[in-house]
Amino acid sequence: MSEEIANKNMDDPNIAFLPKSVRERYDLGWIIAFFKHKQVPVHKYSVWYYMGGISLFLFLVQIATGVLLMVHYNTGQPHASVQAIMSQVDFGWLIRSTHSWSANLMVLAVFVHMFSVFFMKSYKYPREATWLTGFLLLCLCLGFGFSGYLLPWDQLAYFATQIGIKTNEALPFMGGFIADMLRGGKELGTQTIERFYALHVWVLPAMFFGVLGLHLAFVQLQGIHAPKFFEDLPPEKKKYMKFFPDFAIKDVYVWLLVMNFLGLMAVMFPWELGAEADPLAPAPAGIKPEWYFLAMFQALKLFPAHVGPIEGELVGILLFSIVGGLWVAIPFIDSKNAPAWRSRATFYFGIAFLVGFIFFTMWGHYSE
Amino acid sequence: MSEKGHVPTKRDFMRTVFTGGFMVWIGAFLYPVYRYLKPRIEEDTANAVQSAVVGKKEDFDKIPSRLIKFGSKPVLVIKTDAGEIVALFATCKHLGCTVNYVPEKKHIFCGCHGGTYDINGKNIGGPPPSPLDRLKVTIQGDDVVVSRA
Repeated sequence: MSEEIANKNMDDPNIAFLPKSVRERYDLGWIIAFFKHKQVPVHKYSVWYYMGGISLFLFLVQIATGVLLMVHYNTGQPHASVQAIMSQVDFGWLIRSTHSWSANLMVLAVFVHMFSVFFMKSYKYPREATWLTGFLLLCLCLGFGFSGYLLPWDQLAYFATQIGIKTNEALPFMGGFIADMLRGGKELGTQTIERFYALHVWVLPAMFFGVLGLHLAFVQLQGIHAPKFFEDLPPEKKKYMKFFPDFAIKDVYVWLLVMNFLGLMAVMFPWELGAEADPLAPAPAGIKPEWYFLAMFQALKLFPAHVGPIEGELVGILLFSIVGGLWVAIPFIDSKNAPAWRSRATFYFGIAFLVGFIFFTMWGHYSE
Repeated sequence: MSEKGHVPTKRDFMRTVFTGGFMVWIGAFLYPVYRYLKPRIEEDTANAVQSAVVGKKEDFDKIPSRLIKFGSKPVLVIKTDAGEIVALFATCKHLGCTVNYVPEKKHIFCGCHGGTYDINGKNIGGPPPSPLDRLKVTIQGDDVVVSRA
């Protein structure tokens, strides 16, 4: 580095906290300046800005506890090793319970984040790519949930995965192929565990890091979106908070609260482990998937075995795909110059989607 | 914190309380992780194998040496030219590789760094700093029994 830059860095108040040996070698002032320059709009919906951060925090908890679980988990003896984690390894029950709770809370935080972004219309021009990467992250989250659920290899895990894969097998053209690739054969068996494990601890995280990097980069580059009513305020009435350090500190406070809540849930309601999976044993009565797949599960039940010449399941999946497709396309439907009616229709579609999701989830939860 | 004669302010007090509380909080989360990762060391001497039958006496007439598993450790059993049977822990004293007997040269050799021991386990060449640990050999009937000395 040239003398000139070294001297400039030495005088930069933004990085005065760094030791001299670092400042004279690396040009870091711009990073701090960038984050100091960034502002967070302050308004009555500002609380929703924490949801993305909470999701990120829970993801970090997932990595930490996931790596810890890998230390004692054994794909060759999936059920026995999880049982050992639960009963023999010191605090193993706590690590596993935290991993499961954090997974569920993360999916919840991601959903809340998504709907808050939707209702603040943050997806609109120029933030379409942030919405798309966010949707990808949601899909990856569900992939984590689906693949991780099988790994303890208990009865519930076995049948939930069986149902999940069978449902997709109904898809035309690719369905059978994807199902075979996931199962590693025609039947769900221990070879499936190796595949799901590889997905869960390596493929999905690698993809997640890439997409998450893009998602966060977009947010940093474009700044935080403010809802329309805030934008319409006269400049003197717009209040902002510095991202660094003010918002960042608050973010950390919220994370500490989430951490405490997570610890409390993991201790008070430890995750259970059922009997070892046995393909020859009958499925337990009233078997249900995790809550985030429950709405789809319940809605699928409404379809008859056949709709005309087509299988009922298939009609259901096609319908879900259409709704999912519309959801992804929202920034392009409610685009920059979209007429008012289209913007309104998008809003009602979102309401219907949210209400439907909650309704079917509740129905699924309370039905026999 | 406070120097002699300096009366701690309310701010000092609160800072200590909060910093201390935060450290305890961090500790409460890290302690389970530490315990989770701490290996469970099953004490080798208490539950370890004390003795083992390594074969029949006449077996050693045909093949003069063999490596056997003694609990979790390798043990080298050799019949010397004098007819004595010697048993040694086969873990090299240098960096823990497993050694083997070389009948042509009548010595014990470690393939990792070329350490050599004589037939009684004494280090005679290369980097090993001390002799191999010996085990007691007894003949019970026809059986050769190796036990911790």
